[in-house]
Amino acid sequence: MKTAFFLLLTFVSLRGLGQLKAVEVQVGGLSCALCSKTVQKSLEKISFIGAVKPDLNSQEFRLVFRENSFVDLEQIKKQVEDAGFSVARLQVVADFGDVPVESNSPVKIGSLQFQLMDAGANVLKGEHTLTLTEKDFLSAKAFKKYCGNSLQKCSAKTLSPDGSRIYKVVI
Amino acid sequence: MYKYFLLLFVGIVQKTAAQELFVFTDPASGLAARSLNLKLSDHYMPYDRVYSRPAHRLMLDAEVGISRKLTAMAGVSVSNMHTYQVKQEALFVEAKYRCLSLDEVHRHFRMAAFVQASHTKAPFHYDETNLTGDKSGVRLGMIATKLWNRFALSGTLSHTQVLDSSRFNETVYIPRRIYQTLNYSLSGGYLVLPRRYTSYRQVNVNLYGELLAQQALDHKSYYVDAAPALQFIFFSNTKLNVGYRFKLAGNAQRMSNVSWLFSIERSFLNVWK
Repeated sequence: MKTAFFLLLTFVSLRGLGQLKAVEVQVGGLSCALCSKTVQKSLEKISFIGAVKPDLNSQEFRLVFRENSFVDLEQIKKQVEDAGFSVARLQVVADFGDVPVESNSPVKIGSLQFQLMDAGANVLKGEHTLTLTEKDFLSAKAFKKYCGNSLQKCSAKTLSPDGSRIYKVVI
Repeated sequence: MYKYFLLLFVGIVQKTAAQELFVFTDPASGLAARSLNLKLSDHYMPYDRVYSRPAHRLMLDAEVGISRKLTAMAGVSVSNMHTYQVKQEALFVEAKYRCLSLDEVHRHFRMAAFVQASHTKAPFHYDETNLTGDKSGVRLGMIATKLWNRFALSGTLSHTQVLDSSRFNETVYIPRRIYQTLNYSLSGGYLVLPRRYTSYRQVNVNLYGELLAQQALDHKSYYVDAAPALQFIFFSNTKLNVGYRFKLAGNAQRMSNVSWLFSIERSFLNVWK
């Protein structure tokens, strides 16, 4: 009964039927092409990633997914760290479709759930870039910037009733 | 005059960023997990006083990224530095653990601890406690490396214990042999080219300046060397290094006060799952 209630709650609370378009990850701790190549090769090992497009000057990598794949942001972070570096910023490019998004309600886009920290009651249509505001996905300096704005953004990991992670993001 | 040098240095540090793939020393960063780096080096001394000829030490080493923080290395050397003919000389191993990483975009501060060990067949000559052929022993040390875009600065402090059999011989005492040293270095690196990246195929050129020093703890012997070096990186995976090393100060007994280091390295990523 309890499980059924949680499933119902999850279903009701999830808004939107959007689509994940890409992830843009900026990597910290490097400044050379050899290091960028190390990160690129590490990211290319991820099964759900179809292509990695690097910007060697800003150390940003645009990750395009394979069709119908389950996207795991923690694995992206792990592969960056296995290459010897850190995630300085991670952004998700998502198509929200036509479904309205309300503040304080998680929105599911593809296989991921997001809590929009600055959206308010709004109708988001089309493509938007979401920046993760959690410590795991920001450099110390950037985290301080987001943390300074709202204590809520600094809180610990949030999990949905089914145990999957809800990522706090700003648009 | 010093003011202009200081302004130039501050300008470089603030407006550019650095490279830390030093030729004579190691940075605090290690290899990527599951990657392999193979290096072939020639340590060349133009004149060996004992044999009145140039001397070479060829070293082949393999470095492996065990995990994101742990790097291990094993190497072998052949040389005619301490023998008339070229002979297999030493086996050496190293483990390095990155214990601190403070990363930001285009910059980082990192620290690592390392341990080295070597066994050599070379006879005990001179004061240097080099663990790639000259001496058998162990070394423990710490490295701190700061990267600012095109510029990197790194310092290493280590302690070496030479474990030669003569040290433990209770019947024959050989005076003035050095068994314990403090080794320290300060290294700077600057990415000269390219000014702007367009592809992984661009040739990178790095310029390095290193100070390499040793202070004996059991006798009054020391040296401080300067070591400028040039590095070319091809296809973002192959390095060609040329370094020259000369004495700035010191009273240590050494085979030569000047030497060259030539090396070529190739890295292989995702070698295993």
